[in-house]
Amino acid sequence: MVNRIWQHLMGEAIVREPENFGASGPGPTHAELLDYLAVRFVESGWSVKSMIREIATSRVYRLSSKFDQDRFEKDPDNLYFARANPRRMDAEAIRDSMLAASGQLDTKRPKGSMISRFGSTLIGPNGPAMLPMATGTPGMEGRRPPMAGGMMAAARNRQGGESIFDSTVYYRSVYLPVARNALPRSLEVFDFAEPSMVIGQRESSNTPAQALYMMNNAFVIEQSDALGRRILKEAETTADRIDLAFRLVYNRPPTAEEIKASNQFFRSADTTPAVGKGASGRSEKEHKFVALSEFCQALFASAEFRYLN
Amino acid sequence: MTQFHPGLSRRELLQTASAGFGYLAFAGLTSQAAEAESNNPLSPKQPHFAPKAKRVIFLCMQGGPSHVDTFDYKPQLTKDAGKGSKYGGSRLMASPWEFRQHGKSGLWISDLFPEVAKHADELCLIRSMHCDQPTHPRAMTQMHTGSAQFVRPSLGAWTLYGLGTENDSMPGFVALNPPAASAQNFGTAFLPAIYQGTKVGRTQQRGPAVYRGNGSGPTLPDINNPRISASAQRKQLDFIQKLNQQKLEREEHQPGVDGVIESYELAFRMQDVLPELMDISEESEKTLGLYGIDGGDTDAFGRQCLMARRFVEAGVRFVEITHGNWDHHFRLKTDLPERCNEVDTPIAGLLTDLAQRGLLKDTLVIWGGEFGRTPDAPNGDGRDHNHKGYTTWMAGGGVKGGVSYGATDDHGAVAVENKCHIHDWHATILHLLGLDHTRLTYRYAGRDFRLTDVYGNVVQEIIT
Repeated sequence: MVNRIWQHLMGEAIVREPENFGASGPGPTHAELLDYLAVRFVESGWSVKSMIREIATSRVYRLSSKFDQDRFEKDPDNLYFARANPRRMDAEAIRDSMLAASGQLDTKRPKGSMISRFGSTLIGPNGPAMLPMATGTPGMEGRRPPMAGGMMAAARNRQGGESIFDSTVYYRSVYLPVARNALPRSLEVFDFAEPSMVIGQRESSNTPAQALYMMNNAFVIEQSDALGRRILKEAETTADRIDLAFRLVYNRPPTAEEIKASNQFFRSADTTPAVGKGASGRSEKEHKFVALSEFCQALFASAEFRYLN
Repeated sequence: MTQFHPGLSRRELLQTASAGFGYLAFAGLTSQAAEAESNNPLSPKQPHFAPKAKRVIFLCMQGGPSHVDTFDYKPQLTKDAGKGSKYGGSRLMASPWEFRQHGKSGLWISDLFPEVAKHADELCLIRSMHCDQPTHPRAMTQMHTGSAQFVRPSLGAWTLYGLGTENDSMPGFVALNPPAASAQNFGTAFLPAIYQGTKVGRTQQRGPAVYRGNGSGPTLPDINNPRISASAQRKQLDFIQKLNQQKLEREEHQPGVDGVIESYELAFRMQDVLPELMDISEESEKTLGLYGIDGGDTDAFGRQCLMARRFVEAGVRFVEITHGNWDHHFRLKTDLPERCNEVDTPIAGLLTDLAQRGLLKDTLVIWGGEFGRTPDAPNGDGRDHNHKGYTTWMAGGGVKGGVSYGATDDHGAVAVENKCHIHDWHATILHLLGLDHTRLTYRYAGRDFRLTDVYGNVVQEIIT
């Protein structure tokens, strides 16, 4: 258990294969530390919270992920935690972080199960009553169920393909329903654990499906719009807006190079006003907003957003 | 990728050079291979030994097609019709359809598959199939993953894991028209997610067009942007990649970022290539006719077969097409001919088309359902599930044509001669692809797993 908590916080576990403590496994890199933590865990009355606090207040947790050539040569896999492991956020964290940056995140807990609203029905393409899904989430497309008409209409009118759970609710991802065979796409593409298996370590892959999701998905575009509206409201000039967007999305100001790249992007977006589907009827103001939203989307889409340093 | 590097042996060179048409399409892409090779888990890998087949088209007949009415000729069943059966208490039912011998090989095939029967000399019938599961979902899962009990990677995922893919603008494993509740059958379980099947929409999908994206063809999730044009998106992507590049330079050692950069370029190419591949409007009348794409009963499956050919031609490693509703407990006499008719012309067209393009010799075509049906008829006009003996067939890709392997008993109830368990079937498919099923392993939870668990014997007799 402490091995798994450590892994969750540090990115890698002390026994690198948390599901194999046996003779064929790799064994702990820090046996004494593992024992110490296990004893502390028992003494604290098996308190997960205390254990998280203990690790999170340690020096090793606060180490920077800065790369050091000397150390890298001695320990290329960073087995000894000389620096923090840069790692990709989990699927839930990616979705929640987008919602947090756009100001849409609802930290309340939803009342009851979202799935139960659809009654006792099979959720999936062949169910007698199915969730209305745009193209996209293979497990969930289909006809509309007789109830929940408002939500349905909202989801149906949205283009690009998204699960109803993603496009209409802004709860934290832990509250998203996980129906077997019908995962919300926001989680599915980012290596969500297969719900019917015991998974001690999630994958951290880079797939084209993730890239397509970030570039084209309705939920991502919606959050980019929301972030765009937020920075329009909270900052006056383009420079301030770029700065605010980086602070909201990455929790840091942009570097000089990033400011340059951002300005360049806005200039290039300006030179091609008539872009895209339905662009002909777009006013100058709307066009500028689309560019701003694209910029916000790009921040979400870049590697900086999904990797923790 | 056909990339000529110093490590290429004479044998490899010959294999690659003689691989024919399929490779020509990728010649232009070789330049991209070098950079992708290093960190791309999908880059082509050397098989364990020289492969007979390079790619697979799996025609999955969901529901359990009746073998005794299609590919397993049982004259004794006709003679004993009406007698009580020893299998379940109900009476034996003769096949309502005539069987005839076809081709030089004289394979017995029923009148339900007149077009496929013309390819008899290319077919390798495996008439002694059996699996462990008598119910649909579990047998289906076993057919795809080898296990009905645990969640395991699917055949396509193992194939992709073993061989990688030949086209870096395409997913390597495509599931056309996947049925409901089938994620597991195309999933990777513990294998890295990159090997999972990419599901390409359901063509007979109902509901408003908005669900289906543009047009009524099959679709992929998030394949196009609802708001901005490709050129505008390229500008956005350039900006994203610039941010990624800067991150890479800033932080020196960031293995993940390379992967992100690569994934965006692949996705952007896929946006271009996939819709084009799925657009069959450029195909000639003659080709469309070959597949039975004429707006009639054969249209839907014909389109999928044609798309499968376009996919494998473009370098997709494993394409699976599902055709449903073969579960004939009732109305066998009316429904079975309908199902057969829907797939007969398209399958024959696919075989013809693959052959004339020189693809059939190294493309393995597999036909089969999760099990077969019983010789007796518990409901009068219908047959029950039968996992103890049924027929599947293969064609092309290194299997002998005009061959019948194994046999069921006199009535077609139980496989008795040269039995081929689903594990043996998997082992044989992997073998044809140049993979040793005992060596294709992945370490999970402390031990090495295989598609065939601890079972599986390659059916050498059907291999050329």
